[in-house]
Amino acid sequence: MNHTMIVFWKELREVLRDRRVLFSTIISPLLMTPLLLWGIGMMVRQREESAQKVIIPVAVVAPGGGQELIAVMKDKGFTVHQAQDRSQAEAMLKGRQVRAVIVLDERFDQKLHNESTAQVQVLFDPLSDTSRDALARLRSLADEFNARWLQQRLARRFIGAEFAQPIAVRTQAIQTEHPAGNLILSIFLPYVIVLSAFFGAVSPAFDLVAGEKERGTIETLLATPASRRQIVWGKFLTVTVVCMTAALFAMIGMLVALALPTSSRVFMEQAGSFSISAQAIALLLVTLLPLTVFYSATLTIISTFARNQKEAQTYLIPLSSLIVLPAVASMFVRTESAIWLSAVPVLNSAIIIKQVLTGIVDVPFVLISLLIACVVAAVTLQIATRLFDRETILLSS
Amino acid sequence: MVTASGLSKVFTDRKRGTVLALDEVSFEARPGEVFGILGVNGAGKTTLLRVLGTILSPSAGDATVAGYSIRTHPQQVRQHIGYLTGSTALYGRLTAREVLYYFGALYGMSGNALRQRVDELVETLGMGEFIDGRCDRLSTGQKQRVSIARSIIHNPPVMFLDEPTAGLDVVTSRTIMQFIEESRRRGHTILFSTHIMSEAERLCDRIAVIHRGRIATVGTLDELRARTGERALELVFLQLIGEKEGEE
Repeated sequence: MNHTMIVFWKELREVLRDRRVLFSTIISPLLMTPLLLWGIGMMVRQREESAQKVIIPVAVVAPGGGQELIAVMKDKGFTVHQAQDRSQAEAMLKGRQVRAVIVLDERFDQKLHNESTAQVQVLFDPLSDTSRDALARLRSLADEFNARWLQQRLARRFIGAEFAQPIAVRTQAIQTEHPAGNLILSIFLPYVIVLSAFFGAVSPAFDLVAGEKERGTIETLLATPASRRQIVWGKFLTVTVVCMTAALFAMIGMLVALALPTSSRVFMEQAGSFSISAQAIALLLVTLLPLTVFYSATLTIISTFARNQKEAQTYLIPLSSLIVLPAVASMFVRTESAIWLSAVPVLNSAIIIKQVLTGIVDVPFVLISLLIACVVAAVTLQIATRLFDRETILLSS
Repeated sequence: MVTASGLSKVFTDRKRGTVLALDEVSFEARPGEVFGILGVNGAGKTTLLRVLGTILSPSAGDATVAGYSIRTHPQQVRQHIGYLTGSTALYGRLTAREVLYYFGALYGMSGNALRQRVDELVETLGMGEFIDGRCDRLSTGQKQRVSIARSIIHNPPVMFLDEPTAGLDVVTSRTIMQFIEESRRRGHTILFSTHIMSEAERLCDRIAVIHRGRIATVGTLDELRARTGERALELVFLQLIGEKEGEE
């Protein structure tokens, strides 16, 4: 067997026995991601339900009538405290006795019946969740109240409801090859994949070179007939496999998480309805290959340069932002992105993943991105190999 | 057989600038001989063995190991050496057997030949009780026995031993001593670096005293005693490095 493959199989065997790696690449994405989204979904549901059920105290200043509106408010889950004037109501709001203040027009009933517009001012506390809930509920209540009164006013003049609605817009999503849930996937999956592939491989990458220096095993390895190139390639291959595994398990974990019923609370109703074709998976793997080679070579460079694992962790901190920033940006950039984004490492791979998931594949963008990703991967791998040849770096510990 | 001829090694250090770690080192070590390299810490013993083992490249000069030049045939040199240091570090998540199979494979061994060689070493070094245990659970003595087995898995004609007893207890050190004596009986060429005088006195057929990267003198223990007029190797050594410092 080739020396590279001998080193690779040995490193892979060691990595598979490392609990840290198993946790970060397999257990965490398969368990933690679904658990996290399930937990968030439960919290969102609880929040929504409590926002609907809870009776919210409000103060009303009604110098010009408005009993009809107050009755509707009481019916919609508000406890109404009548205040003498605005300053008293505001004091009640600041003292948290009420969660919102509704100041009605001085001639509220008169304007309502005279087909004029009665002003309703709502005061709320932007820092209070319940106050914001009260505002939302009042807006919805006002819409219903307005609709009812508009209908009455139009009926009085023998005018149909169509009068107030010159156009009626109805939307219908076309049936595409990809279900609506793929939109959610295209936002979150690229982010999860590009981050997991990198951070899942940090621990083994640092263990493989910096760890070997630290433990003092590298000298005996260098004294074997295996060349340095063969040794570094064996280690690099191992890290690449871990990167790829971490990305795949992150993807599976995310799909499981989105399929949970509670996920629709976090994202949207269609979150659970998604599909990925075999062709899309093949293209995802092609995209991941240069990305994981780049990651693996970069981590090998750090690991080779550092004297021990602790020092490697120090170098990792500034580098992490170079990976995290494009990963976060991938959630906000459009699927049909400008061609210059194909030149941005990491982000270009994330955009291809977005395109694959939505089925909107921009072929020139994909080709340029893959070409650039391959060039970046080849250059970093070359640097890692050369660094491994530098004896002062390799034997420093 | 190991022959060094004018070997020099220069390091460039950020703090210390240019450091001459080896300065025109020349000697010859023969088969069936334990050739001691005696020197204080930082004298250049480890650098010399690393250069001979092709882990470091020489800045000047050349050496042949088992007939191969360290400059032109580094891979063949590594194929013919066994390299053992005082560090008992092994791969913690592998078993002792897996470590031996790994290094055997790196030396081009496979199949029955490798299996038989591992079994033979397990028997010879008494590793039967722990050969299938993970290395991170072995005692220091057990680890050192695995390290010895690892270094001779391919039955190399030349052994480089860099302070192999450093930090070891008496019992484990004795295992190493016995291993060196056995290797000599088998006709291997052994380069043995140490700063422990009693070990050098007991094991070495000839001794090279190295100081500040230069070989101060080479000879048998009796020749060194005659040269300095001292009996104890410690005094012989101090006089030789003292002379060297006096020359400088």
